[in-house]
Amino acid sequence: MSEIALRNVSRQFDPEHYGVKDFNLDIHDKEFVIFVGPSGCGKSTTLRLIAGLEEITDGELWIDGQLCNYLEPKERGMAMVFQNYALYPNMTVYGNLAYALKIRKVPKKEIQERVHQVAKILEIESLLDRRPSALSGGQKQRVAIGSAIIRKPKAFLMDEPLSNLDAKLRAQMRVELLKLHEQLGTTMIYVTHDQTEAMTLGTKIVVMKAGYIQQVGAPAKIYNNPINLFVAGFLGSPSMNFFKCRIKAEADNRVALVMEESGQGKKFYLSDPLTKRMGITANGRQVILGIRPEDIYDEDGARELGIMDQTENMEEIVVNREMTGAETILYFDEQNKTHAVRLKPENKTQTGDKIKLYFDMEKIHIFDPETEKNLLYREEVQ
Amino acid sequence: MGKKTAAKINPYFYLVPSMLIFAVFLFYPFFKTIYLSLYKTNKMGEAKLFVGLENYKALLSSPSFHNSLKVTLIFVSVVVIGSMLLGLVAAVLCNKAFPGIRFFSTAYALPMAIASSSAAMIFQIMLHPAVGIVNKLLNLDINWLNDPKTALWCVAILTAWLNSGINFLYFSAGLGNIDETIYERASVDGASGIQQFFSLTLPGLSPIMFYTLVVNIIQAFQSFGQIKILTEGGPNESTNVIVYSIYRDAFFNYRFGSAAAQSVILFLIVMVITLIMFRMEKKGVKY
Amino acid sequence: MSQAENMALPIEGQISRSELLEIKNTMNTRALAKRRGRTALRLTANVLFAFVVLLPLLYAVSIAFMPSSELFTTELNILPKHPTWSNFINAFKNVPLLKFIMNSFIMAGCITIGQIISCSLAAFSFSFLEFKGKGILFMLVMATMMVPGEATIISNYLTVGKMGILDTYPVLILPYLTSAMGIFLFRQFYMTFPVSLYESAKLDGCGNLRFIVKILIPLTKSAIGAMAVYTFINAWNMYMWPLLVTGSNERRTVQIGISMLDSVDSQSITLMIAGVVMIIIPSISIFIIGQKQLIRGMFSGAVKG
Repeated sequence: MSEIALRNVSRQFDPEHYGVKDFNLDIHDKEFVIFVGPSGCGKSTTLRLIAGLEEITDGELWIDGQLCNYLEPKERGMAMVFQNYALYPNMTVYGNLAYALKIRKVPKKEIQERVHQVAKILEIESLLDRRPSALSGGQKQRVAIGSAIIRKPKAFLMDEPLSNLDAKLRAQMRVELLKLHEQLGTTMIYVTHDQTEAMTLGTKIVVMKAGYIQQVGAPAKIYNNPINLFVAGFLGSPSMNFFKCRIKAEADNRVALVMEESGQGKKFYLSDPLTKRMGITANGRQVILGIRPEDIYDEDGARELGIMDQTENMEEIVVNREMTGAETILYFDEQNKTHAVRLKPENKTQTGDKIKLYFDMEKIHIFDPETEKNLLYREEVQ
Repeated sequence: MGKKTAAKINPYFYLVPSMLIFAVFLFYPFFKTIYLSLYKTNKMGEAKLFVGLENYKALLSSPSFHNSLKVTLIFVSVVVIGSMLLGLVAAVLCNKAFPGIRFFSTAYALPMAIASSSAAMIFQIMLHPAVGIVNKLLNLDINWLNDPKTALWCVAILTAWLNSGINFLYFSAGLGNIDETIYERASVDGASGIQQFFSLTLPGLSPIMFYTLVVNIIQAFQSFGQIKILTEGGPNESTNVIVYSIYRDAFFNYRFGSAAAQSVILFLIVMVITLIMFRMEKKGVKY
Repeated sequence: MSQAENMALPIEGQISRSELLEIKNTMNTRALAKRRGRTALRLTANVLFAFVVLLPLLYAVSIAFMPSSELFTTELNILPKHPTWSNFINAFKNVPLLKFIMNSFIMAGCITIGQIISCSLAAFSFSFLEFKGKGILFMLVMATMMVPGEATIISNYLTVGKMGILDTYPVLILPYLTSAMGIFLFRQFYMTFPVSLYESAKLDGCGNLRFIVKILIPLTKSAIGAMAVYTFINAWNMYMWPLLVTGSNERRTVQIGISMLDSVDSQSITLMIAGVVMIIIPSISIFIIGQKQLIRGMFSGAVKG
């Protein structure tokens, strides 16, 4: 079992420049934790801090109740998979798998057994005599993972392990990694910039930006309840649509969001509970309305849901159309940006056509344009 | 002449300067040397009497030439091992950033800028039996360059020093080519610094090691200036390497035929060694 | 949004915050000491090793400044007690050192320029043009690298003797006006350029020579720099050939000339070393100035495993 805890961990590269700042996280046994964020957000640095490849400038790293800030990498009992696989070029696949055990002076026979066992799990038995240069990207990937799992470490650290694979292999490896995690039951800490990987693999996602944690939580929870504009926009594909709006108090106590920079008075009515949760609803206040592509409907869908009266005048011209089979994605321009709508495949609207759209107002998010915080964020869900 | 012919000839035009020099000063003398080696020559170096392989036979039965071969072999081995070791140690010492690295890497490469004759003269004084610093530091009274037991070692060490500069550059380049992350993985895997050196660094250097070895062997065979200045082949022919023997036979004894035969043998030795090395490299593990 | 307050210490109850701080402090100092120790170790090893490598040069400089009377003592005399410039001055007086230096500069300069021109022309042809026998010719050039210069030196000596150019500048320069290594190095660089570079220049009506001068040479500055440094130093340091083909002070190069200071007269030791130090200075200076170029040009692509 392994419990990893980071407390106020910082990594300072120079007086002005932090790689990671004030990082707090508990990683429990058997969790699959994903650090995700754009490049330069500090996710890889954090992983390297845990591995011991970078020095912690401030804060504490605890592994199983032991303070590990200054332990050498080899004393931490972790195994790491690197982005470029970092296979030893002068050793065969067998040698690569066996290296960590050989160094620990594990008896030869046991090494042999374990190598074959791991090779079997990863289906690389036929490659044992090859050198890394004779392997394909996917095979290298398996060897790298194999040499990590062979040690039975406290936790696996994976630094963008799939980013050098092509899309199909990546999808396949994702499934295998999940299987592996289930099989081994070992904690995994996984770094990626790919939000799809994060969503599909993680039991817990840590969204990072510019060295700071933005939000921590289960994928679905973060997806449905993002803490701020950045997290909302980062997770999901196509990403959330954002519209600049102004709050307008209407007759009979209704509150509406009026889209800015749009002539025809595109208007969205807020329900009472939502208005309450939002807090300040001063007339004329500027906010950002966020809605995911799947929460926008065409007329049929809206009628079914009974949300037709919440949206007014939302008519757009389709600038692009993608048909994936299971769904149709339409794109339209608004406020100088392109937005996406995910509709049922039955929708036959073509590029250049006009379409009336309806927002599911129960699913919207409202952000403060200054602080970028989600005004509808629900603390208790986390 | 049509335009087409001109275009056809054009590529050769750019080769003329180089090929002309090669022809006059390399290909021609190469065959001339083989030709001369089959003749007895006069003092002017003109071939006078065809003797077939007589020059070679004479050489192969001459104790002096046997000695030359032996001396050359020892000399080349000591020089190659010494200079590669010096270069390797220097490169390893400089493979991680530390304060002053630029100064040190310049220092380690510096011997390559120094002439064999200048170096020989400095070593001559350092090894001087009366005033030399070596005897003074070691509190010894050895006439290093006049003792057949030590003279060869002295010229060999000097040559190793001279050749170590470029080896440092080769090995530094080799170390730079090793992927940094395999060290990171090794340290997470639990390998100590020494284990990493032997299981990753040395094998990682093997491609450049091979190239460096070939270059070093060829270069060591050609050492001349330091021997001419320090020992003139002596004492007792103990430093009479083939190149020096060629020089002496040709320009002191005016036996151009014999000298030419030795040149051919020198060429054959270098060629065979190079070919063997390339064969080994092909058979050996590559990655 | 610090969550630290609501997150318990993983081992709370066992130690307090202040105790933890103390532990961290000691560990911090220990880690710092360890790191400093490692750097110090590396530095010491380097200082020692560099001292050994540089010892001959340092010793030479020291002797060069030593009055010859100081040299002949039984005690350990590493540094001159009364440093003097007189050895340098006398070295100039005893032999025409300036003339030798001039000769060497002329020789090394001409060889360097000549090699750069001939090698880049040949490399251009080998990498951008198609012609019959290209493969064989290139193999031939590469094969020359295997022929030790000493193996052909006798015939070359006889050749230049017949040409009647002994003891002239041309005899020093001519045999070294090209080099297989230079052709190889330039070709290696030219191969990294796409053929379309050449083809588009051709379409623009650019002749071959113009292409070399206006496009190739500016693009291969680093290779040319490396080549120049390497060739110049090697030419400056040449010994056997100049020894054979020069006879008079008028044409002698420094490397040969300097050994004229090496006479049996032991009084002249300091003088000779002063001379050696002076002739090492040009090649070392060029090396230090051109070191970066040399490394970048020679090792960036040419010599890769």
